[in-house]
Amino acid sequence: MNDLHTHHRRLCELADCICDGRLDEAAAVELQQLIKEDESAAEVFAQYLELHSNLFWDLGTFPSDVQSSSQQDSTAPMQALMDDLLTEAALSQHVIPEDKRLVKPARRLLSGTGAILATSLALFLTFSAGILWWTQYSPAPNPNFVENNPAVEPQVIESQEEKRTEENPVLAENELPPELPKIDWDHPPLKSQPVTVNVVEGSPTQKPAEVLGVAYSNDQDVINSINERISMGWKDWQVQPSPKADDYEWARRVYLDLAGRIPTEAELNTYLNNSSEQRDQELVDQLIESPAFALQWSTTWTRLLVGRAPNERVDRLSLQKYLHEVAESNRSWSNVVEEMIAAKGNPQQNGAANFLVAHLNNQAVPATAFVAKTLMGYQIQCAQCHHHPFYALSQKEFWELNSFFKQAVVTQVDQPQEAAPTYLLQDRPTAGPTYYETRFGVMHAAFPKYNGQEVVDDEKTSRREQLAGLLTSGDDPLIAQAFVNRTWSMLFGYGFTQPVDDLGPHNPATHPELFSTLSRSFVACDYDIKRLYRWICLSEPYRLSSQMIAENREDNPAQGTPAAFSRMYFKSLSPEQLYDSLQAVAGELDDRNQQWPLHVTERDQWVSQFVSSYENDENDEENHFDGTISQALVLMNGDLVDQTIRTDQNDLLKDLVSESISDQKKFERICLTVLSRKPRHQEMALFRQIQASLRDVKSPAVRQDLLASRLSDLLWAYLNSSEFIINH
Amino acid sequence: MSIIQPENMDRRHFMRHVAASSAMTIPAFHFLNHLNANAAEVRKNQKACVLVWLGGGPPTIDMWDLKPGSKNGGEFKPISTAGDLQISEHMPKIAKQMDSLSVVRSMSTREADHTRGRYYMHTAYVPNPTVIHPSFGSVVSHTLAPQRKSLEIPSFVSIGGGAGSAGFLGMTHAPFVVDSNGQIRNVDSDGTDKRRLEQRLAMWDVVESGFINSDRGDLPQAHKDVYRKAVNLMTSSQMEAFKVAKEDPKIQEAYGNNNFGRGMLMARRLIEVGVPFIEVNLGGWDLHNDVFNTLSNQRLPTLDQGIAALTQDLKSRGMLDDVVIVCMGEFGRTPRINQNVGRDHWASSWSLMIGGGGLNGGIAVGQTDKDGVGIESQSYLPGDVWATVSKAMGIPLNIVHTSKRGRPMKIANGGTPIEELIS
Repeated sequence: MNDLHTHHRRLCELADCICDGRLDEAAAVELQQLIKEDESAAEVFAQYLELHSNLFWDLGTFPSDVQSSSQQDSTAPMQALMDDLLTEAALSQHVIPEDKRLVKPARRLLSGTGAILATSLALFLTFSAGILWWTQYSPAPNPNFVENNPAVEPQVIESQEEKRTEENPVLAENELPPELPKIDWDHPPLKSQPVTVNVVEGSPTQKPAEVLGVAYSNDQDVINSINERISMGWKDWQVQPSPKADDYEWARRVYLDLAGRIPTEAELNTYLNNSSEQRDQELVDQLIESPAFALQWSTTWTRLLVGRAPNERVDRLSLQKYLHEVAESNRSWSNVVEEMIAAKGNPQQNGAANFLVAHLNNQAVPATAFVAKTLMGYQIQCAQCHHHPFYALSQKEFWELNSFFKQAVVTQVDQPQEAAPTYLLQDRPTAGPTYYETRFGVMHAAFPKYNGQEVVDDEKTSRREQLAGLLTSGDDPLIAQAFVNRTWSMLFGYGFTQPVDDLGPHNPATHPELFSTLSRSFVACDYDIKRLYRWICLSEPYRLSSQMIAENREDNPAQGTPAAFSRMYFKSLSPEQLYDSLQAVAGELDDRNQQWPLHVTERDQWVSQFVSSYENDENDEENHFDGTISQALVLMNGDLVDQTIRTDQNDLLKDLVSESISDQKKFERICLTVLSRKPRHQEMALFRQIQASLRDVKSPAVRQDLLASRLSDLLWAYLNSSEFIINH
Repeated sequence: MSIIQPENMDRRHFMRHVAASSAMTIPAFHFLNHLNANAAEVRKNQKACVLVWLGGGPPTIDMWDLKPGSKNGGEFKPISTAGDLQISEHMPKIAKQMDSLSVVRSMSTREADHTRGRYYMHTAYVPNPTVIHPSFGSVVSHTLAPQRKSLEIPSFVSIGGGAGSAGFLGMTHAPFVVDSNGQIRNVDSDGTDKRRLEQRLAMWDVVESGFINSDRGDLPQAHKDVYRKAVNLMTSSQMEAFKVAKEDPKIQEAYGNNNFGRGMLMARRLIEVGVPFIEVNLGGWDLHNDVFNTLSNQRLPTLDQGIAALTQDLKSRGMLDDVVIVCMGEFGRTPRINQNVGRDHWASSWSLMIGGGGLNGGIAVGQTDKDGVGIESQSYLPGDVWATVSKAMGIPLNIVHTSKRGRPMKIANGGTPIEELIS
């Protein structure tokens, strides 16, 4: 074991050398030796690469000044060596003996596994291409940040990948070094690669290679594109779509997604009784234009932007009011980004200011990370302070973005003591670089720079305004991609990448062309949020049932397969959706529209019991709600549910008890109210049992009481079902 | 809440009622009929682990591995302890217990981002987009819960949150998150009598089974298992363990009148009813600024009192040999003191404290160089720490978990127990 440990340490040192560009040939031979000798070493090396491949993004953003560094002109043998090493690591990781125990070798499973392994193989290859490129120190074709040029960037990766695959001798069966462990050549990853960027999007005749997506201006074109691209993916993954969801299932889904709650019985009936052929479209349009959408959308984005428990300077409600207004008047998302980035003033009055007020602590490090992650969809926070020279580059990049926030400051306004504290987000008149230190205490300066563009640096020019302009320019900027990916994932349960906020060449999208088409069309229609929702909600994949069929059982992103969207995936109700749905069950929606801020305040109070903050400089927090015992206890015994099931507090229930319809109908209506569907056979049988238990009760008054109590119990049972807490 | 027990009905009696058929002719509700009636019995020799989680990343160079005379040394002085090592002068109470506790000074973990580091230290695996690994508390729950039939409350309790997730082991092994105040929300069914609860559950079972059978994946079944646990909990006398206020005031005082102290005391009470893994969260260690004042005035006194009290208390009850205590965060902090008199994230050379459970006490394992920036001995990964804990708890190291996609994963990521602690 000691031996092993020494090996692994040495291995990591050598891997560090690769990243530094310090790997000489002797060290490379040593590294190769280590990996060949020992499977676990290969695994460690693979893990090391996996970790560092997250920073491949940064590799692509290599600033031009470093390329002139005194480091070597690397040679062809070195390239080949690096390739060997990386491929060996990839291969040996995949043939560690346990992997052969893969159970149930059904074809679907294997092809699913193959997809995953192929993805990681692709990742290694991509990475290897990256390292190769770096060790060569060839001038980058475009010194700009790749992330701002996504139309071109995936092509670059693709072609590198293809090239490497062709040239790579190790991939060819007959040329495998003899000392490698025996490889099962029937193992799918080596035979087929269903999940590379090119294969997924199918037919090469479709689009010219240079342009990935199309910016449509017509809604139906975009919707058709979704339908086509997703169904092409089904063929590629060899899955079949589930049948269409019935009208009940779809209506419940669209209410939860767009209105943030289940439909009431009346709303459901209105939709079902609508005989128009356009009734789906009418419902989507009606919901998107309703105040409920503004509430749901602003709730979701308030949580994404500042969390559920931000610092005390943040006026969460003020932010939500701002976002609510954005949704109501359907202002463009690029506007929102600009306003939040450049916001000034009192966060209680200027809601947009709260985003930065929440994250300007600790030298605006969280602000930098949140802007990158939440608005631009890529993860940069690791780069803040890595000691490694490999990261030092991205460290510089991190601080260049951070430098845009150098002027920003939150100050407390002087006020009489008894008044609540008031804060101001302002720009100080400062110029010059931001300083940061490397792990070894060397100070560096970072000037504001984004997408290779430097900006005016004087005391009078607002850096944040300039950043706002840079972030929102171009025909497919990152803020559009990030927003599209996140919206898609809100509606389908999974985005085009997993995680949804980690875009980049290391994490290829499942449907790159569709993704690009959506984000380009989104930009082309001036970042119209509601149109984006409309496109997705009216698409065929969104209309599919959540019920699995044998032919799509392996399409299971919860277990790590790439999402093929061959059925609707489960989405857990957020605590907010649960709260609002309980109110819908109790019929308490009437005064929502005018008094939504009051409603939100009460709801936040209830939700706060499930949130704990991590108390660190990243301002992150966790929610221990989904599927936990705590959640079960809330639904079984919590006050809110208790109020909902009591006839003296839930008027709908009270009225139902005395309504002049059959008992059977009353039970059915409970089912319809909670789960938006008709009862199943077993449930009908249950209803008959309940009725039977009431049959012998002579006194009408006693019977009425008993019936009320049975209805209340039944309501409890439905509210506690997993079907209720899932949007499916 | 008070125990859900009608005045004149003991628990066993109640359970029999619940298990029997109800007024309605619905089959007996099957959650409740397997419960063991000997629930109240305290098993003294059951193994357990308390993880003291220092969220944010503690500056271990100011706590467990001081560097007097180095430019990185900072303001604190080392003091001698009851063991064969020195620790910070601001942890005098722990120093007196150090004969039972040890420090590993050569952790090298390579993940210096909060989220990634938290995941890595809790699971022994680096984050991976295709699989969610279980926190080690969930692994312990998964392994030991089947052997503890009399345990009616969750086998992984997180006091204060932040304990990660059960990952592919499933929601039944997720941490049960509670506050240290001992109030477990919504446990009391508010006067609903047992018959009624039974009836409701019977109705619920019909609805739930229908959804489970409608081909929607395994989530609905997992939900049902979680409900079983929740119902067990609602009707269990073991819930008393959460009520720290029922403890002798002198003991409460020894642990400290603060959330952390109460959490540590709650941990001991939970161990006594058989909970095998408790994580107690003490946050506020992300000390980019003003590290020395914050440590000496706030963080260290609280930590010192809580850990010392738990160690002492377990010792005096004869339980320390069965309970492992681990104290760590997601990483250490830079040896170098930054421009704001703080320390930043640092994962390549740091320390953690581990003791009890029959492990060797009073020693420092591994060493760093004179400035604390490099390791001069064998270094350790989180898997080695969890392998050590497994060894101490009698959990076999040859366990291999299989993710839902059939991917095999060794317990503690194949780590090796730390030799000096177990020999």
